Parts: sequence; structure tokens; C-alpha cells
Amino acid sequence: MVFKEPIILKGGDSNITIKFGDDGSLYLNLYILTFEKITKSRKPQWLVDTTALRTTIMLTFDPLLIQIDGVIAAVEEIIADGISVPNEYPSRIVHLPVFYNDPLTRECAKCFNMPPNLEVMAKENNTSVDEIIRRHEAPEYFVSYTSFMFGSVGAFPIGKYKNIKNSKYKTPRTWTPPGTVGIGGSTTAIYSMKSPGGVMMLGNIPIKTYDIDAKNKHFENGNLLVHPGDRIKFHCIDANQYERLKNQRDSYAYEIESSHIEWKSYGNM
Amino acid sequence: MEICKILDPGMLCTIQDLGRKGFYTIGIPTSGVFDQISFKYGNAILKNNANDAGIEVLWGGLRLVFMEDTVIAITGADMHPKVDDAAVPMWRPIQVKKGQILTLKGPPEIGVRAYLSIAGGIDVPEFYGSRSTYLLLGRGGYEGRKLEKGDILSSFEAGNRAGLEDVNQYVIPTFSYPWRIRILLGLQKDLFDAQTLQNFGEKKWTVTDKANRVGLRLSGQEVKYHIRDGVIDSGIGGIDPSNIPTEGNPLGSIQCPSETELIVIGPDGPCEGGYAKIGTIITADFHLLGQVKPGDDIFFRPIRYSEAYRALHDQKEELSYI
Repeated sequence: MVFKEPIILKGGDSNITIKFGDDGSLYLNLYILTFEKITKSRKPQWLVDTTALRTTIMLTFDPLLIQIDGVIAAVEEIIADGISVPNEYPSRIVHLPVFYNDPLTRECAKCFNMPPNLEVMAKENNTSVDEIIRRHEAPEYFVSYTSFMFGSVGAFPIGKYKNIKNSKYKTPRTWTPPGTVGIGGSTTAIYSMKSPGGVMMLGNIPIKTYDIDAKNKHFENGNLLVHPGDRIKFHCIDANQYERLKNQRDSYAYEIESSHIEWKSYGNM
Repeated sequence: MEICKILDPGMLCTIQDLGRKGFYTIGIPTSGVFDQISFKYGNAILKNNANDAGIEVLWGGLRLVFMEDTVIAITGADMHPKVDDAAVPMWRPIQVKKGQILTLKGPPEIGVRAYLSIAGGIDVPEFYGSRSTYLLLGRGGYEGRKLEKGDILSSFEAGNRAGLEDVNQYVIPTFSYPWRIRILLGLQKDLFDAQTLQNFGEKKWTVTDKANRVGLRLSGQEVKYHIRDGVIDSGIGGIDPSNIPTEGNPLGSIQCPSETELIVIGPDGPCEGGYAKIGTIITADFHLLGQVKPGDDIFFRPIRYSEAYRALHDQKEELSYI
């Protein structure tokens, strides 16, 4: 659902964050991506960057060219002109193998004095580790944003699924293994490189989500595997498959389907 | 033109310019010099272009030998620079000869980063529109990494730009300790309780040993949130009071992930995050954050937006007097 009136948060002298809703739904995401497209197409001189996320978009501006009230006025004008979300939105399906509850992930949790995170999540959801894995693997995920780090992904389940809710780390980790899949709130995150992080870790992906040198031919036309608007399907693999795929990183043939998504068929707006 | 060879890189030296802009969507932060003001003075002193790349020197220990005659400037924290055995001034154009050795021994009494600018700027390939090193990704700058012993740096031709005229003494920035940094309260400030907001601007914060270009963790005060009912924001963010749905991380924004610690986002920091933010350092003071080191005390002062913009325009004007 999209708020009747968006909430505009002042984030300092050079940015604003616009909150368009709070349910993080597919429609809200497509609405934000559409707003981003319209804003960029107007090419305001002061616009430095846009950061679209699940419920918000941050606009970074040049504070020597414009002050915050001017940006707010410009945003209100764009919204007043109307944001119309097309029902058919191009959306590829990218298949990704995951080794859930793998030793690397468990080892990392241990380094930060945490039990295996899947155990924490099972407890917070009153269920078992196996059930959390089943719930996570089952649905299709919509890629909401890729802005945490180069090659990272923030995605959420769409269609019918059983929810997983959990806390994040109280003190964020100073590092997270590359390829980690984790959950913070209801967002599934993929960590592409060794980086700080606060979400609970589920498992590890053995293949690349980015490749700047295009060692894997797949990346010859772009260094990133997924983009906002794509969908992801996770597939549970075991230790043997994980090792095999890890060794094939530079030759792995990605499984990607061209497709589109119709938000109206996902119900609520 | 090969301009110098690194004899000892010291603690951490990276090539930086003013950073890259417009790539938050694909997770590429600005990077670039942490103390933009000191760096801009360096280029202005040499009559370089404002965005010409230089070396960011952390803490000291840098030794290098020049391979050609050139003009340099050293700005930022006072590293007690020497050319061969003679002390040379900070914030001044310095003529150096082929074969001379520059030493930035450090450590500085106040501050932690110095900038070595070279006439013409350092010649390294651009990555996403900038020559800045982004260490996490291993891209930009000199082969995507910190400088090592034996590295040979090149510079662009300076043309007639490099000047030896002296710099106006009065506009040279000085650092004063303890750090006083102005902020704008905002973003999730309404999630914090009144006492926390009041203490925030009155009591000191201390920089922990977790401080680098990604971010700085500060401790020293208690941060309290309003108690919120159950799962906030439909559970998108998480179930702890500090959790919010993921949002863009402005440069210099101050996150509060726990009751006892703050994280301030630095130039190599993540472009988004899911912890509530109490406010953001004003653009005109962000460079000061690049000079604080573990153990330093910081006082934050919340100000009004109009004051933040005035400070920024004043700063720009001062720089133009060089």
C-alpha cells in the first residue's frame, strides 16, 4: 500500500528520504522504482544520486546548488503530477544455489559470540531450523535493491509464503563471509563481499553475484548478476554440491529466465 | 610521467580524489578523501584542478623518493614533513628535486590524516568516474589497494598551473581539540527519548578503536529509544527498537544500533542500512570526522538547517581566497 501523503524525512543538509509506505509490498516497490525513473528523467541539476529501497527512496543533492526546502518542493511537484505504475514490469528470474547452515556461516557467528543464527531464528519463530530453511527456500523473491555493497541484494518473498521474522545483531558484525544469505526483518540479504553486517545469517551461495573482470563469460555484458526488479529463486544444496560449484565459479552457467511480473496478480496494492 | 617511488608506505596510504557520485544504487559509495577541506587546499595551493588525485596518509610513516623535479603541498594533520633532512612547512607549495626523499613521519598531535598533493595530480585509471581507492571492493586508486613499498606513482603534466606564490596565511584551516562537530537532527530522531536527544548535544562521545574509512564507532553515552509496540513497521525492519526498514545511509549519518554505541558512516561506508539514525553531520563539518582517531572525544552540536547552509557557503568562499 502507498501512503496518501508520503512522509519526507530530512537527513541532513544534502539529502532527503521519502517514505512512500510501510508494508514493503510488491506494488510499493514498483511505485518507488517508478518514482525514481520519473525523477531522474527530469534531470534536476541538483540531483547527485538516488537510493531506492523497500519503503523509501533517498535523494542526495548538491547543497551548494539547492537547499532542502527546494528539494522537498520539487518532490511534491513530481508526486502531484502523478506516479502511474505499469501493471507489466520486466522481471527476470535468477536461480541461485544456497548451502544452508554451512560451516563458514556457523564459524562467522561463533566469531561474534552468537549461536548458529538459524537456531536463533528458529527460537524467535517458535519452530525448528529445518522449518526455517524450508520456509526460506519455498517462495520466489523480488529484488528490491542492490545498494548495500557492489553485488549485494535485498529481496523479499512474494506470492504465498510462510513468514520468517527475526531480530538483527545488537552489535553489527565487523565482517560477514562473501556469499552469505541472511534475513533482517522480512528482507533477505545477499552479501557479495567481506563486509560489516547486522542481519541473521542462513547460509552461503557458492557462485558469484558480481564479476568486475568478467572472468565468468556471463558478466561480459555487465558486472552485476541481478538488478532491482528481478526475481530470485533459491535452491537448497548440500556440502558436496557447494564445493563443486565453488570450484566452477568462473565457468558456472547461470540459470536465468526472461519474464515479467504483473503486480495486479499479487493482490493487494 | 613517473614522479615518485614509495620507500615505506607507513600505516595506510591510498590514492584519493573527491570521490564518485551517482552509484549508490549499485552499492558503490563515494569513497574519496575523508577530509575534503584539507585536500581541496592542497590542490588549490598547487593550482591543480580541485579533483586531481593525491595521497591520503593515515597516521604517518610515509617515505618516498622523487623521480623528477616537481612541486608538492602537504595539508591536513601535521605529520612533521621533511625533505631529506630539512623540515618543510605544511600548507605551502614546496619545490622538490629529483632524488630528494620526502618523509611524513607523524604521528600528528591533532588529527590523523594528511594529504600529499603533487603538481598535475596523480595519474591512475578512473573507476566509475573517480580515481579514489575503494579498498573493500579492491578497485580504484593504485591497483585497488593501499600503497606498498616499491610502488611507482605517475603524475599528469602540471603545465603552467603549479605556482610557488605563497598562500594567504589567514585562511589556512586549523584543528582544535576536543572535536566539536555540528549536526542536524533528523531521520528517526522521533524514535529516541527526550533525555537521549538532550544528552546527545551536551555530553561527549569517545571514538572506539573501531574507526576507519567505512565508519567510526563511538561510545560513552546511553541511547534510549521510545518503547514501541511489538513488531515495528510490519516487521520489515526487524524486532529490536533500533531496527528500521532499510534506508539510504547519508554520508556522516549517525546510526544507533545499540544502547551504548553509535556508528557514523564514513566515505567507504555502506550505502544503506537498517538501524535508526539520530541525525547527520553537516557537510561543512564532515571533514573533521576524517581527523578524529581512536580515543578522541567528540562533542556534537545540533544546529538549524539555515546555519548548516551558511557554514557551507562561508567555507567555499574561504577556499576561494587562496
